Amino acid sequence: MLSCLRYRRRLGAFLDGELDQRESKAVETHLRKCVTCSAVLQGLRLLGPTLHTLETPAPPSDLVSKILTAARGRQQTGETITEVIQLHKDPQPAWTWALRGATAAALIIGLGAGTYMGLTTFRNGDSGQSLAGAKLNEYVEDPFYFLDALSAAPRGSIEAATLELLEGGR
Amino acid sequence: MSDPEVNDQQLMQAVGSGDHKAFGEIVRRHQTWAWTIAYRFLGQDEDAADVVQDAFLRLLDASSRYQPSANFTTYFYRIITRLCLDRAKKMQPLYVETTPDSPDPQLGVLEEMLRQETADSVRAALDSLPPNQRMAILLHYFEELNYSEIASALETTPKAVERLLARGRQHLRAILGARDNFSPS
Repeated sequence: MLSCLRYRRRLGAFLDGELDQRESKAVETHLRKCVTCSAVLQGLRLLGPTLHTLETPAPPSDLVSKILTAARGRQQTGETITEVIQLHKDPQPAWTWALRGATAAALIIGLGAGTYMGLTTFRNGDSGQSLAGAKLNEYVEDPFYFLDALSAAPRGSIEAATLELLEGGR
Repeated sequence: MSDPEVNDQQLMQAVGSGDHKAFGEIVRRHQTWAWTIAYRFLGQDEDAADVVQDAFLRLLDASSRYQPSANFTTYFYRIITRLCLDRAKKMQPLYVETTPDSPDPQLGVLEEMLRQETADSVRAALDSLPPNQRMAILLHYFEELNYSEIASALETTPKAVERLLARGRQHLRAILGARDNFSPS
């Protein structure tokens, strides 16, 4: 029954004296009428004594001295848990970050310069003159045209012209 | 500084000022109950001793920041609880066969065997609980803390503590309730 479940959920708190007066009274009223919930409550009451059969030995006789020795050692080294954590973090000196930044900047500048040089080669070189107008637009529309400069036979180069000649003769 | 009239808050303030003897007194006063909680939770001597030592050292490290308005026991419960739960995460769940104590001369052989068997069953049942439920059960039944105090130690709410205890009890009754001798002597 739904109402039984609702009360059963609070039996532990009822047993522990954690319910307010109104809630406690409601549970008591329910328990007077419900044999099942009363049995559950009785079972909860038996749990405590059973748990107290758990055996717990006395602490080791040298526990206090070990703790005090460890504490004295820490006071001598000035070490604390906070400091140990910070030591493991091992912060990098500022100059290493500056060096990394400079390297990255140099790479970006070099890539940009190479691209620019490739572009100007297409536009201003001998082979570039024959590529005026529509031809130039064709290459510009190709998003990877600037990488062509890295190939073995870039467009407009002697190698490319030779290949064209050879293929045209077949 | 072993004056019993000096309370824990005063001792902690002294520790924060660098008084080593005050720290020694704190350790002597509280090492037994700290050990008891840790052992009941972890079930193993070495782990319990490590946790207790760590807890006192953390207390020492935090002593300069300790506020006297904070209840010392509540504060220390929180430290021990957190360390026990952290330790439990690293441990594989296992059932530890407890070494029998010296037999109780008041009991007959049969009663002693039953007592030991029950104790072993309780140990196994507690070890089978999820760590949060296990700690809530221990703080309630052995330390007799109320829901607010348990909530403070576990850094949660009293409502959450009620749920933890309800589930823990249900689990324990399922395991222990099947035994013939699940009844008070």
